[in-house]
Amino acid sequence: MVKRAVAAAFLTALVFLSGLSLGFFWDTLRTQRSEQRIDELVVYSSALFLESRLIEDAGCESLRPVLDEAMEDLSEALQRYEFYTKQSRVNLDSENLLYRRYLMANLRYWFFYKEFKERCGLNSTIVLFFFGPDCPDCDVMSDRLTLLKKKYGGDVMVFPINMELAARDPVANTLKSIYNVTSYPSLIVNGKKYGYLEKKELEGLVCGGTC
Amino acid sequence: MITPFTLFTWVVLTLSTYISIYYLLMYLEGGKREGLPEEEPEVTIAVPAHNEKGSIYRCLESIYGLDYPQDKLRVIFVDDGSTDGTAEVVKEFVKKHADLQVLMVRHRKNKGKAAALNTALKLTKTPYFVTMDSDSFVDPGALRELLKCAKGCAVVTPAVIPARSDRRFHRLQAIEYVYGNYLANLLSGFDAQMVAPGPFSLFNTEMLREVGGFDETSPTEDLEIIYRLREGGHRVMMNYRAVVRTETPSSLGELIRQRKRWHLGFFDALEKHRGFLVHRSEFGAQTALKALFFSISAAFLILFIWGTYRGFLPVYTFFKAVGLDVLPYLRDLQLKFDLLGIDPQVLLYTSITIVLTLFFIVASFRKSEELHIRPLDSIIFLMSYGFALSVATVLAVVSWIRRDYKW
Repeated sequence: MVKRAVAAAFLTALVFLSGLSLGFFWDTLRTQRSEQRIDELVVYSSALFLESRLIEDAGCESLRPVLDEAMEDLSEALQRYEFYTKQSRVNLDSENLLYRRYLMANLRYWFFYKEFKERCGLNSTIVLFFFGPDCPDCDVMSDRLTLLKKKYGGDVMVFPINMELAARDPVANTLKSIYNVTSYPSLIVNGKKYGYLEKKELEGLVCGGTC
Repeated sequence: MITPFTLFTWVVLTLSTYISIYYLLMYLEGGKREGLPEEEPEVTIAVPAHNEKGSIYRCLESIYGLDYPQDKLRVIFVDDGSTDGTAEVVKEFVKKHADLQVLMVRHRKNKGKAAALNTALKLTKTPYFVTMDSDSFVDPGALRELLKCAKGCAVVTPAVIPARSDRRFHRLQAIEYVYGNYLANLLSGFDAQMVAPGPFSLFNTEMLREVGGFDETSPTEDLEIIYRLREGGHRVMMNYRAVVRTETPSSLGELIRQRKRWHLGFFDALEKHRGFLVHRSEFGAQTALKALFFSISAAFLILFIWGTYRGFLPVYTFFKAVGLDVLPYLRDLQLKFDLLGIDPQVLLYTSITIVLTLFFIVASFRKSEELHIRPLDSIIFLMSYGFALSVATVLAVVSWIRRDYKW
């Protein structure tokens, strides 16, 4: 009886440890996958950023086709990053470097779209979305913005900035002071700052009659 | 990140893995049978009943139909304060079956099953004493089967299966009974059988008297008696081939109430005989495992509620944000399978437990000649039945702590 109890304990420990190792191995794979996705974005956004400098010479029409596809990749990469960080045993991104790389790519996209809108008359609304930790209203706004993106596709461009993860990021902080963001959630639409908005208000603001 | 919820999940799943592995090791070892046959001794069958008008006739008929010499059978019917005319039904039965020796005793007030059995035990003059629930029906060969290993044992227990299997609810319970019989048979090989079921357990009258008969304060005297017989150093056996059928609950509420009483009975016995928790015997180990099992069962319910609460907040936020404007989500619905999104650790623990449980379910149905497995039933069983039993466990714990022994 004692022998069996010990043997069972030994086997259970074996199962537990193999599960744990498998979990850690999975986390490594997740980190790799996240890194890879964000790297792709970094490369792609750098290219776009350079192209935005060349709009005058290249012409607006040649850039239009790449827009919609790029946006989808962007939000998917963030979703995956957030999901993996939540699920993993270890902190995948303890220095938030991965997130900051994502943010850099994100801001390059933002920059490119702003430029493209001004110069080529893009019909989209561009939203910069600041949010912070322990902020239930931010979650609500985030869900509302996702809904609008799903509803109106490329007509609504949302660029989220997680200020908890980007607390030490100089660009994020510069943007924060440019737009005088003091509380979360804060939305920057057409250069103006807004706080929490009801669903109808947000929809009216973002679509502004265009959609 | 590792949250308390994650840690709790790991602990619960690992402990349930331990139980599964322990049983697997027992299965691989096999155990050995002891107990010698008896030659047709005289046997008393005690049938206590409290308002069992509906089933008592069929119950007595099944006793009458036993493959055993009539002159060696005595039936003691104890009417435990019935008010529904059970006694009249029995009188009618006796009139029609005059060749069966039936002694009728009556408690004017309802004293409970244990008291009724003790009344019958006092009047018993035969070396063997069989308890028989009045809502149960014994197969003709059962008594001879039980006697095959009666010599040297304090109790020989039968395999109990549900009398009905026409509705899915009864078939789900049948899976549990068949599974339970299989495990009881396995435990019997290690002299660690844990319960002498009310329907048709065969006792050695002397040994039963020696430990003082049945405990009238226990919610489940058929479990408690095993503990006292073990303390007396006696052996308990199961004979899988002795079959008795019993009425099972027809509704979920009834089932939960029944299980609550059973679980409460175990906690009560555990409290009265707590030494067995650390007893260096297989029976001691089984007592500890059973206590562990109930803890896990309760923990599963806690995990379920905790998980629902955790999952509820995002859902609440979502509907607060979006209202009923869910059509864009449905239009955008894509089935994206992300292998890395799965938690391999929890998956491993869960699948080991599920595979081993299924293994034992299949093994028990292969051994049982009575019923055949239906895959759909066993899936429903795994998913829902454990949940219902968890609820019963938690209710039993609450009653136990509050000393609320009404049932």
